[in-house]
Parts: sequence; C-alpha cells; structure tokens
Amino acid sequence: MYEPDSPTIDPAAQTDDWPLPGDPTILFLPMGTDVAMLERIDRESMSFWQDSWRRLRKNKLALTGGVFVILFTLIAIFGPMLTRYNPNSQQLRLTNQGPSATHWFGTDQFGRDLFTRVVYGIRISLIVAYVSTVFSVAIGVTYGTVSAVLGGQVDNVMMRIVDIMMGIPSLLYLILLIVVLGPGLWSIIAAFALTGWLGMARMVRAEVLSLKNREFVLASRALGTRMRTIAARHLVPNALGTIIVLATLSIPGAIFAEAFLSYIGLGITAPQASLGVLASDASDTFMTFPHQLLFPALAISLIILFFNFLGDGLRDALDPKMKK
Amino acid sequence: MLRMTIRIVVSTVLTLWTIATITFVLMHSIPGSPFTRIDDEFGPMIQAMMEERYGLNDPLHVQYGRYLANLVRGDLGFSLTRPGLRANAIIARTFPPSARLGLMAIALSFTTGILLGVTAAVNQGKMADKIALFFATLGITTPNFVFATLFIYVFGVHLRWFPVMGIDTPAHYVLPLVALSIGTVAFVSRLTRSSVLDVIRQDFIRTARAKGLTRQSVLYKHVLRNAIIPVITVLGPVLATTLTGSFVIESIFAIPGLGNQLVNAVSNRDYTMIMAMTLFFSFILVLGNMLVDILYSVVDPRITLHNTNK
Amino acid sequence: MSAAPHQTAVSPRSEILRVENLQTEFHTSAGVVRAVRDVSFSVFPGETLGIVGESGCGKSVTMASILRLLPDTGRVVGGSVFFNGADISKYNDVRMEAIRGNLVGMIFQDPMTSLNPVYSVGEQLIEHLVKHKGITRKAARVKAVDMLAMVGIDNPSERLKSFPHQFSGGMRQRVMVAIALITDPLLLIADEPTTALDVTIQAQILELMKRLKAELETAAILITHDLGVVADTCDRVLVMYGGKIVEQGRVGDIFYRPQHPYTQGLLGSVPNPKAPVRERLVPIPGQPPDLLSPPKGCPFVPRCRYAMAVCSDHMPDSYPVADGHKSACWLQHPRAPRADRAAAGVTR
Repeated sequence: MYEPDSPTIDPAAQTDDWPLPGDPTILFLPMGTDVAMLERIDRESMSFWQDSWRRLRKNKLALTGGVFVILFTLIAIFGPMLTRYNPNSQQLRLTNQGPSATHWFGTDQFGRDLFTRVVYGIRISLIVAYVSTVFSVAIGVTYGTVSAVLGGQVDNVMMRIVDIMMGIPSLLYLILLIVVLGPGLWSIIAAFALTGWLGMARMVRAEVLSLKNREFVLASRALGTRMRTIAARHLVPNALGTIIVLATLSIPGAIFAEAFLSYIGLGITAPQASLGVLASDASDTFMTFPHQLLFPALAISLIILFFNFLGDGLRDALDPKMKK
Repeated sequence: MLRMTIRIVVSTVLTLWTIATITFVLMHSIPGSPFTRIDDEFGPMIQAMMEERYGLNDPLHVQYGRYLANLVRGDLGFSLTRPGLRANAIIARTFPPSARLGLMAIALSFTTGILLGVTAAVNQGKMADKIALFFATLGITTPNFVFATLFIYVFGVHLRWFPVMGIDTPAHYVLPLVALSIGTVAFVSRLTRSSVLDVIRQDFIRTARAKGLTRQSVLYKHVLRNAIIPVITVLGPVLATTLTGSFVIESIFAIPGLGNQLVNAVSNRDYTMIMAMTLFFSFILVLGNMLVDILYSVVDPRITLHNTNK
Repeated sequence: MSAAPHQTAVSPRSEILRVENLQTEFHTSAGVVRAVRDVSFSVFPGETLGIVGESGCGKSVTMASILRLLPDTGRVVGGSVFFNGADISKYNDVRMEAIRGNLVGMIFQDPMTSLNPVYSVGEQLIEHLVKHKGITRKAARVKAVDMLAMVGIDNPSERLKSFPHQFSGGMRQRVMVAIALITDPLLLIADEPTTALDVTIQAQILELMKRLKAELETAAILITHDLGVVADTCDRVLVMYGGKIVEQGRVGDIFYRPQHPYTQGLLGSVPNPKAPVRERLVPIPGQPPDLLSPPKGCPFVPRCRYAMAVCSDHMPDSYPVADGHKSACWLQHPRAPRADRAAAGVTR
C-alpha cells in the first residue's frame, strides 16, 4: 500500500471549465477519515428479552391482544366489584328482560342479571384456562426436560409414549375423564391438564435438546455443574420463549373445549357458570331471546381472538427462527 | 415403502391397544359398578344378576382379557340404559348418516379452505385478503353451536330457506354441513394462506420464474404442490375436530347420527355406551391418521425415500 | 419461440445486452430503498462479464431487474434494457417469459433450495424446454439426458427420475447449470453460483461453466464477491458499490491497475498467495451506505482514505482511464491530486 503524496495540482488542469458550484481549489482538498467513527456500532446491544419486547411492541395486533387479555384478566379478578347484583339471585318478576340501564345485558329466564353472570362466567372460564394451562405446562416442561436431559434409550421410550398418546383423540378422552371424575370445575381442570401436556412436552424436549449441545451448556458441564442444575439454570430458562408461546396459544383451546363440554352437558356445574354454560343454556332460548346468547358468545369469541393475537405476536417476537 | 407401511401399522396397533387399555382403566375406576346408578330402577337383586351376567364379579385381569378378546372380534359391548341393545347395533344404525355428514364436511373444509387460502395469499394485503381474514377470524373464534343456533334462526326460522330438523332430503344437509365445517374452513384457509406465502418466497420459485414459466404454471404447478403438504398434515386434526363437532351439530339439528347418540349417552350416564362409542370414534380417528400418514408420504417424495433409505 | 427479436438499435459491436441508466427501488416499511442507481453497461457475444461488490451493493438486484424477477416490493423505475437488439424493458409478462429461461439462463447461489423438492430433476429440466422450444416431452427427455451427461452426472437416464434431495450440493448445482443451458441461451447469468459450495466443488463448477460456455458460445454474467473467481473466469469486470458502478475494465485493468479507492480496498483485503513477502491484509473500515437515504455524492466517501471536499456532495462522472477502463472517482478529474494515478500501479 502507499501513502498519498502531498497534493500537487496539475497547472494545465486549472484552465478547464468547472461546472459545479464551489471553489475547485478547496473542493479537491483531502478530508481525512475518522476510522474510529466508521467502526462505531450504531445500534446499542440488546438482550433477547429486550429485543423480543421491541419486536412485540411494533406489532399492533399483538399489543391490542395483550391489552385486552390483561383487561379480561382484570375483569375476572375484580369483576364482582363492577356489579351490584349476585350472579345467582333470582328475580322471578324480572325474567328474560332485554338490555336496559339497570340490567346492562338484560336478565335470563330466572331473572338473574346477565351482565353479572357474564362477568362471573369470564372468571370461571379464565380460571379453567389458566389453571389447567399452568398444570399442563408444569407436566409438559418436566417431562420434556427430563426426556431430553437423560437422552438415549430413556428419551426414546418417553417420546414413543408421547407419540402414542398424541394418537389418542384428546377431546374424546376429555369426555371419558369427566364422566369418570364427575363434572365440575376441578375435574375439568384436571382433565385439561392431563390431555394438554403432550404437545408442550414434545416442543420443550426439542428445544432443550438443541440447547443441550450449545457452548454455554458444554462450558457449564466442563466446569462440573450437575445436569439437574444446568437444566434448571440454563435449559428451561432458555426454552422459556417457546413455553410462553405454547401456553398462550393453548388458552383459546381450553376455552373452546370448555364451551364444547358445556354444550354436551359436561361443563361446569351449577351454581357456577362458565361462558360456555351461559352460551349453551342461552342457545335453547335463542329464538325468543337472542341477546342471552349474544353476550356470552361475544365474550368467548373476543377472549379467543385476543389470546390468538397475543400468542401469534409472541411467537413472532420470541421465535428466533423468524428473526430477520 | 414396505418398511414404512409396517412401521405405520405397528404404531397404529400400539395406539389402539393403549386407547383400549386407558378406556378400560377409566371405566373401571368409576366408583361402584356401572349398575349402581340404575339400582333404583332395578333393585339390588337385578343389579347383582346383571353384574353376574356381564362378569363384573370376575377378577380384573380376567375382565380385561375378555374385554380385549371382544374388541378384537369387534364386539363393543352393550348399552346400559337399553340392556337389550348391543352397542354394535346402535353404531351400525347411526354411523351412516354421521359418516355422510362428516365426509362431506371434510371435503367442503378442504376445497373451500384451500380455495380461500390461495385467493387470500395471491391477493396479499388487498381487499380479498382482508375479507377472507375477517371471515376466518369469525370462524376460528366462534363456537360451532353458536353458528348452528344462528343459522337455524336466520335461514331456518326467519328466511325459511332450509329445513332445520333431521336429514330427510339433501336440503336438510345444508345448514348442519355449513355449521360443522365453518371452523375448519377458517382454519384450513389460514394455514393454506401462510403456507402459500411461505412457498412463494422460496428460491425454487424464483428458479421457476427464471425459467420463463407462466404465472399460472408457477402458481399451480410449483407453489401449490409444495404449499399443499403442510395442509395435508392437518387432515388428521381436522378429522378429529369434525368428529367432535358433529356431537354438537347432530344434537342441535336432531340428526339421528352417532354424535347425537354419544350426547344422549353422556346425559343418561350410559357408561358402557360411552365406552363403546369412545372406542369406535378413536378407532376411526386412528385409522384416519394412518391414512393421512400414508397419503403424506405419497405427496412429499422426501418422506418415502428418506425412510426407505434408512 | 426462436431467438430473433426484431433488430433495433444495433451497436457496432452488436452487444447481446445493453443496460442504460437502470434504476430500481424497493418499497419497504422503513421507506424507499434505492438499490440500483443509474447503472449502465454492456455484454458482448462470447465474453464473461464479472460483477463484484460487497453484499447489498445492488449486483443481484441489477440482474433481477434486467429479467424483471424482482420480489413484489421491488420496481424498476428507470432506464432501458436492450437484449439482442430489442428494448425489453417495455415488454409485458408474456414476452418476458419468452426470454427468461429461453434466451437467458440463470443459475442461483444456493443449489440446496433452488430446485423444487417435489418434482423430479427430469421434470424440472424439461418443463421450460417443452414450453420454449415447442418440442414433445419425449424429445425433451432425450435432450435432458444429453444435458445431464454434459454437466458430468453419471447414469443420466436413471438420474432423470431422481428427486433433488437425492443429489449432493455440487450435483444439484450441476443440475442447475443443465437447466440454465438446456435451451441454448444467448446469455447465462450466474448469481454467486459457487458461494454456497465447498471449495473443491467450487472449482469443479467453475470449470464446468467455463467449458460449457465455450462449447455453447454463450455470453455470461457472473455475479460474485469472490475476486479469485473473477480472476479465473472473467474477461471484463464491473465493480459495484452503493447501487452504482464505481469502476469497470478488463480483468487485467482491475487487478493490476485499479483506479477507484474502493477497488483498491477490495484487492487489499484479499490474500495474494503469489506475493513475494507475506503482506498484511487490509480491511476496508466502515459499513456500506444505507440505501434508504443514499448519499448525495460518492457513496464510498465515508470509508475512503482519499476523500476530498468535492466527493461528499457531487457524484463523480465515470472517467475513462484507458480503453474500456473507467473509474467513477473524483481522483480521475484533472484537478485532483495526482498521487493516485502514480500510486495505483504499485498497489498490486
């Protein structure tokens, strides 16, 4: 390489026309370059969660979903404060009222305030969905992690079991389980948890398996850390993104399944009423009182819609494979 | 191909056995005997007689062996609430209308779903895409009994376009069919749309365009053939959804089918019927999944050859 | 369709391809990316033209623009493209289809993903042959067997029935070469054809392309960022930077007498095994320009060690250095300091 000599201006060149604005003698002086500035990294570095949050924030649909999911959860927790009625108190003089200022969503065939019942219905439906998801996540994550960490033949057998159980139509066994356990809040939650963990186990296993051979885990093992500690400290936290996405997307499934079970008479039992129970009860009287179906059905649809928005957004934000 | 088929068959048999065993364990973990519920009707004497007749006093492993042997012979047992009736007879009577409805619903789901999905994908971001998205969202987020109720009200009672009870004429099929498939149409169309968009971005599509093939040829030959593969994988789940959906739809439209029977059995707590029908449904689903697996390996050349090479 | 578009604007040396003032933009959520800015060049019969530059410099987009194979977000907004004498920049889809894969064959970077996984290699070899040449599938298959043999695939009549996943990466790239050349095109465009391959396979594919190009008397454009590949295969070279051609010339001009500081930088960052003493590799500091808001002047200014006041505000013309050798740099201006021209010769 060479260094530029000191500028020597060709005297012959001075005479040509200079078409551009500015004094040519100044324009042709070297500027010099600032190498340190060139190698500056323009973007600040971000952790995985910061990066994911940035991407999630840009996704309007996901954000809307998230806001409404929080809103529905708040309704489920604080809903009873929004209404002065008891969901089960009957006013037999005021049966099958349309929506009004006193009864926002109207009343049902026993004169119960429909708004109050929908609020309590959201509460029950979300309890079913959240609690059963927590259980199926717990079972699935444990099973998947154990299978991946132990590896070899154990992993083989454990995954064959999952494969076979995946072949079993879950909704049918939901019916069978609830018939055996007897309908009710806890048997539905138990039945959902027992049928819902399979997909989670499979995904977590795949995730952990790919993490298991990454450098930071190998480094940790080389330092003599026990596999159990590694699993708790490195593997599961790194699979958290996948777990969150699957958990979010499993909630609409639980709410749908609960509505289905309610319709065939295996839902939550009275006096409690889920959205599914409200909707299926109201579908009998739909011809005369359509509003009684409208509100619980709308609540179901909106909850499912917003959880789907949020889940899809989380998947796009948390799944590194989608990262550009 | 042979090894692959053997593997699929073995895993199917294994799944069926697991299902049978789980069903057996579940039904025998119900407190008391299946006849406890109806002892008011029959009294303790008859209850004991029934238990004796159906071998419920034998040791569990004997019962289990007999149960498996019966299953292998295709005997699904009897109805508890209608002791004179064999489960097989009930299923034989109610299966045909259900199968007709179900198969039509699946055909409708896939044809309409794929058509809508492709239309949405090639018009990505335009009006057609947005309209398809709106209906798909509606279909995915609304329980099917809500649709069914709505359809009966609007098209049956109000407009009187279609009959709403039973399945005596072809017109009777319209509303139940649409109510049963609307959710899966939505699901299949979304899947097709994202699959098509995914394939369009692939390098080999650029190759096809660089070869000077027409737009239609690129879309129908190169894009669709690849985009259809993930759609076929959901045939199994769609079969399951359609089946369970039929429980609700059949009972709403008073269709004398298998799903309606199951809902009745559940509300009567007819345990043996529930068990028989669960087994039958599971059997159909597992066989359906087996067919899907085989179909899948036909559609995607990588699968078959990959497995035979092993 | 046969290879005779109506003859207009034939130049003295009758180029196969002449591109004039080509401009291409991409509409993204972040804004308009001006990926190709006023690019002009020609390809002559039988020659191999290399286009080099860093990724994102616009070299692949230029080729995609010529055949209008841009993704939906991209659009050619200006310039004309003369192919075999006819202005094809105004052609509709149907007329373009008669050129693509017929008169112009293309090879892409990644052979693992460039073949359709669900169709046999034979099908992918003949579908466009049947379309363009109007021959029967049977005749096409005969030709396909010949072509597979030509690209060095053993047992070609059996392999015709195989699917892409049954071939290795190198073999798939041979198949791609066969697909591109089976219609006897006038021009072959190879976009980074060896980048995704192992080094030993790279050499084989280059050899193959050189041999077939000579046998079929096809002109070729080779897009690459590998200067070794260029030195080995090309007759002339375009150096692109920031969506513009910054230097062009014969291979010898570019390698031994580079004029543009960017070209000099590119050459300085490549190891030279023949160098008598072990030389230091000199990276070019900094990043390529952001084409969302392209610089007003020379795109290389921020990274250029010879940058002058004039460079940042005014895009230099392309100054002739020697016959066919041009450099778009203010250093070529008669008023510029003379240092570069004296020094350029000793760079390599």
